[in-house]
Amino acid sequence: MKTKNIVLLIFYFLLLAAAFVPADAASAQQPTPSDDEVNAIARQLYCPVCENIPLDVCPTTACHQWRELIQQMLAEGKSEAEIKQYFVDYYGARVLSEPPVTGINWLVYIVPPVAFLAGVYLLFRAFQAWKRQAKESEMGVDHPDSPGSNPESSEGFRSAEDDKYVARLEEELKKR
Amino acid sequence: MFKQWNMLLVILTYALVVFGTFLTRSGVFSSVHAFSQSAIGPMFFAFIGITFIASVALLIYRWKDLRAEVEMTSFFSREAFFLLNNLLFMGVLIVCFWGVVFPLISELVTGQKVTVGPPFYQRANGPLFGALMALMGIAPLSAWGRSTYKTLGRALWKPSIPSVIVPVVLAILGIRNWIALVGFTLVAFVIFVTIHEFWRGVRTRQKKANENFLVALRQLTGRNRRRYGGYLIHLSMVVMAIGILGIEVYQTTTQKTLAVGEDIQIAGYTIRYNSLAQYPSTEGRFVTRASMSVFRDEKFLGNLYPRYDYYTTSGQTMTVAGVRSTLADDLYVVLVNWEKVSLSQAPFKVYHNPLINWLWVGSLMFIFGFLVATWPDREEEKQQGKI
Repeated sequence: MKTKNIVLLIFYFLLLAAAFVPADAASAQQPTPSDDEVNAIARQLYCPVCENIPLDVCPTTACHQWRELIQQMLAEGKSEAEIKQYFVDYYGARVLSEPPVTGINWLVYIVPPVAFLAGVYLLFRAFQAWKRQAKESEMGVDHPDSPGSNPESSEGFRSAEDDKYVARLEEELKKR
Repeated sequence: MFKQWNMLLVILTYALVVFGTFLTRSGVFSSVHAFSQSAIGPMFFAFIGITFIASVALLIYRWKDLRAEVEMTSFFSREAFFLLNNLLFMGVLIVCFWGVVFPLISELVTGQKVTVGPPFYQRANGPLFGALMALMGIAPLSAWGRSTYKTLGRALWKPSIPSVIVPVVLAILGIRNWIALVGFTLVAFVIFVTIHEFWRGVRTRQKKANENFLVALRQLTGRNRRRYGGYLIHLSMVVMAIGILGIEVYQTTTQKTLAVGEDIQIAGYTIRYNSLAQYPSTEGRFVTRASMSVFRDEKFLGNLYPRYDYYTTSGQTMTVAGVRSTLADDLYVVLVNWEKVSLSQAPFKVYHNPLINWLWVGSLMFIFGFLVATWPDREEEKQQGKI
């Protein structure tokens, strides 16, 4: 009778403990993860052999084994970050779809915006130089055909352009 | 105009086209197009180096002769927008070039190869293409030489109003993704600007020549082919953008192994697996073909037959997806040959690609716009003394 009570006590204790088990551990007992759950991680990974083919659509046996491994790790309750880190530890950072922001890899993220901003600066300087040049020529020689030397006010320019457009249309219509 | 810049672009275009061929053909990247076991790589590289250096040297030699006769007085002039447009395209070039060559540089310096995959290009090029679309709307309204923010603003406000209404309507309809909202607003902006420009020209002709709308439109386009062909190309670009936005923002995919009679659900569609057939076919192929029925709201829409062909002589497999295409979306079903397939159950991967066919509609419009813009002009040729 005493033994029976002890067994019951242990049973109740285990039942109570199960209620407080964290969600992560609970997921470890979940059924086999779906293909979509596996692919959500697989599409972010690239195997070292099949260059530039994401793992979720790679037909090779090696990639099939990787997907099985991801499924197994998900079933064990591993998180996405842990699974990705596992593959990085084994095969290097090239398995990731983007280089991690460390060491020389900074360059991949820094060079395009820096080059673009340098382009913006050069363009700005060129604009300024051209504006200066245009002003100087306006003060010096007047080119009757050049819109830049048009003495009309800038507000009136649009209508001047419209007039030119209408005049051209009229000219074309006369030719018909 | 911009002769130096023009020459630089010509040189870069040639060098990069040959460089791209070099990368895949020489075996730098693993590719089915690589020349197998050939010593052409170093010679190819030398050829690129020599042509590029020689071209740049000639450009530097003639630099002063090619100086632009620019008279630009405003940051809002057509020339300024033209250059900004070039800068944005150069930005796209830098992103793509750097993304392609960085793995090689990394391997050279650290011995470690890295992958620069789609997320990098999407993040870096997305804003640049957004800016290009905005320019497609603004630039046609600016004048050559001199244009101020006032004149530009006056030309812009009319087509801007309906463009501002578009995101509001989309938000009311339940679209919350900010990339989609910004993207569709820009699309609407370019469409309204272009329609407004056509309308302005047609109205002028109607007033002056008392022509009906269609005649006026034909005359206007026929006599200003480059201008209106260019507008058609702008329209085609934004139509393509609709397709790109659809697939980039709203594409969904799912994969499931189905027993006969089971189904997959995706984006409101139900795709039922009916049967699988395996049979030898022509050209030494062994075909594995599934039959599937597509339903929406319990209404039968048709059958799809995804399959894969195994070429017995080469040992290669070719996947042929089952596709249902409409202007609203594509349903793309793949019989997954890299998982276990049997007569009783088979794995399927399904993609739902909203709006993707607008990419093809835009491409056809692009060809049409290009033909309009470049079709030989008899009057112009007469003036040049060619006829």
